[in-house]
Amino acid sequence: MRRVTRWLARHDRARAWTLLAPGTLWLLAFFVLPVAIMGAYSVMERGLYGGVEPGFTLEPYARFFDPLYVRILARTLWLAALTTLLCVVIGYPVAYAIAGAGRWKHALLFLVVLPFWTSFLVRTYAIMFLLRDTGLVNSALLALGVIDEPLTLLYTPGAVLAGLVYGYLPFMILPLYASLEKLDPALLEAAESLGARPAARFLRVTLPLSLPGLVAGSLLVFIPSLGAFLTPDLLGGARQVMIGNLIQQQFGAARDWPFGAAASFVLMALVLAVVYVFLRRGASALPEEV
Amino acid sequence: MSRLREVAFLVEATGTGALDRREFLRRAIATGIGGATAGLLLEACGGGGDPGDPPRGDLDLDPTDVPDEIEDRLAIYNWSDYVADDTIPRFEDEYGVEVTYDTYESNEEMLAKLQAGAAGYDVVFPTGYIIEVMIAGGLLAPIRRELLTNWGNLSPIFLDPPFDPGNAHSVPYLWGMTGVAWRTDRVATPPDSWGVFHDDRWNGKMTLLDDARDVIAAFLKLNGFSINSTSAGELEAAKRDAIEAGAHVRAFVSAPVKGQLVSGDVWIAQLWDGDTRQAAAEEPAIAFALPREGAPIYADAMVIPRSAPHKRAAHAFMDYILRPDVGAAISDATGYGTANAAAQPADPKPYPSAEELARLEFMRDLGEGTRLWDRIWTEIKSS
Repeated sequence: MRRVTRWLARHDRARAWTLLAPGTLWLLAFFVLPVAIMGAYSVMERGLYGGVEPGFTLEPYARFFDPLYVRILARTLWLAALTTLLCVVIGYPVAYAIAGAGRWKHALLFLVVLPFWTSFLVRTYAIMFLLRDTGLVNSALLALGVIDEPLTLLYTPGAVLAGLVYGYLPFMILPLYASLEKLDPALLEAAESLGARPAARFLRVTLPLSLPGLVAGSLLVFIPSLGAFLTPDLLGGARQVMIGNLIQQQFGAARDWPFGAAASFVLMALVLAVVYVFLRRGASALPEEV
Repeated sequence: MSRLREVAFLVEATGTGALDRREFLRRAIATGIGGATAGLLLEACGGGGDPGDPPRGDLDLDPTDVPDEIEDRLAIYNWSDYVADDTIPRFEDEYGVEVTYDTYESNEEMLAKLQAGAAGYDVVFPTGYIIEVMIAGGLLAPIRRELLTNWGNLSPIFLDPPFDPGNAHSVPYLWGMTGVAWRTDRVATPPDSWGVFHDDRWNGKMTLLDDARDVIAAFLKLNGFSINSTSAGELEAAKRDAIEAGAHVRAFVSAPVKGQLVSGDVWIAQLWDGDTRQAAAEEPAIAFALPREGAPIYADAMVIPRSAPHKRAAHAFMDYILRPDVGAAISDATGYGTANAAAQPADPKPYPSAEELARLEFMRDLGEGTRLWDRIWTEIKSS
């Protein structure tokens, strides 16, 4: 053992490979291999009873350009973008407040991650109980005399959006908090003594410096929103079909693995494109090291 | 060639050296078996060894071979909440068999798992149309009728079903129908037609199931067609009606609708009769209506996978389920009717009358039609 450690200490490349090996093997086994299998399935013939048959065809990809599926894709992108925007609007002030909360910081952060202690499915069911006609929200509004008739809240696009924002908000708050917390107060004092008003201080100092957190948070919200399928099913009453539902259906009842794999690949290509644009924009917008 | 036969063939070819390891993996993956499973199969069969080695492994066992002795273990794969609390412990005590019990939530989940090569289950409880797929895929072992002394208890209604002629591969278990659950205190007359889902009076107070087969079946029946139709013209008519219904119903919901019927959020819901009985146990104003145009009837049955390691214990278990008292307890606990005519539960669910039976239709597998159905279903949900 000692000889091995000593040998590794002298050989930089070997050391690097040894350290990288567990992660690399993990990614090979659970990411690269499955993606390769999916890629292969997406161009094979569909098995009548599920699975795939040998052969080569691009038909599953061609099929995706059916206006029906393109509309689903467009709806998915729109919902994911709206979710991200709402998470920024709600999450930024929260992260800002927590970063400046002094000794309450840790307690507040704890509250942000607390929902993760319960399963997402259970929390989604809880939202259904809140939103239904005889649910808490409607009962409260009726009792207060604000409304005479229960509002239709559950099984609407708004319910899906609310569920998505609720589910992914912590992923926006945490990275934003991390960058806001590192912000050096001396920079803000300098800006103030140089005559910058509060709005200018925020726009020219705080916001640019929190941009890395904003980019990370937006990616962490946008990407999983694109693949959501539980929320549209349960809160949208299966009427707000997103691409995640379509893919799940292909591997389940529809028994059309090649089409499901092709749809997954289209989704993956979209995610990659978005990440690329975001990271490039994000990187060029970042301030120089201060 | 069916996938299982293809694999059996591949395994044999590898054992005799006719195929090398890489070629085996390539072709096994092509049959839809995961690479890891294929690798395990190869190991189990000693593939790549000396040419001329006889192939070994479970796949080469004769699936009809059932030992005389009851094994001391049994692995069951069933729907969740689909037996009575004491069903399994009583069997364990009486037969001295240790039971492992796993559950699934949908036929497709179970099928995908077995197709992916999951071995080790002895008794599974699929719905009829899936049994058809499993037989076609060579996934099932034949039933040895002479080992089932209580076979005579079964109601003739569920014997010789269209999905398994002669019950060669399946033993009927529980049965149900898809109809309309409704609140008798909110709706004056029974909604005994699928046309109720076009009725403006109940806008926003109705739901359809989140299930392609059941929803499209309802509107095929409304048009007087078979629930197993794959005709483009008939399906187009059903699709039009389903999309029109979509403007009146609140959502497509399956299991959670029980709670919404009880709370009064929903007054009229397409639902299975067993689930309706479960909801009615909480709210007596809930009743079940069977649409006059006809409806799906389904029978879940017990089957033995071809790869089952404890086939004798599996038969013993099925014979035990066919006992009157055991069947009655299961029907009482689940709310679903038993196919066991000798079982009289405390609160029996009557068998369909001859008149009702004429309106009911068993679901069949759609084969190539599955793809068209899925396209239509996606369109109905997105409209």
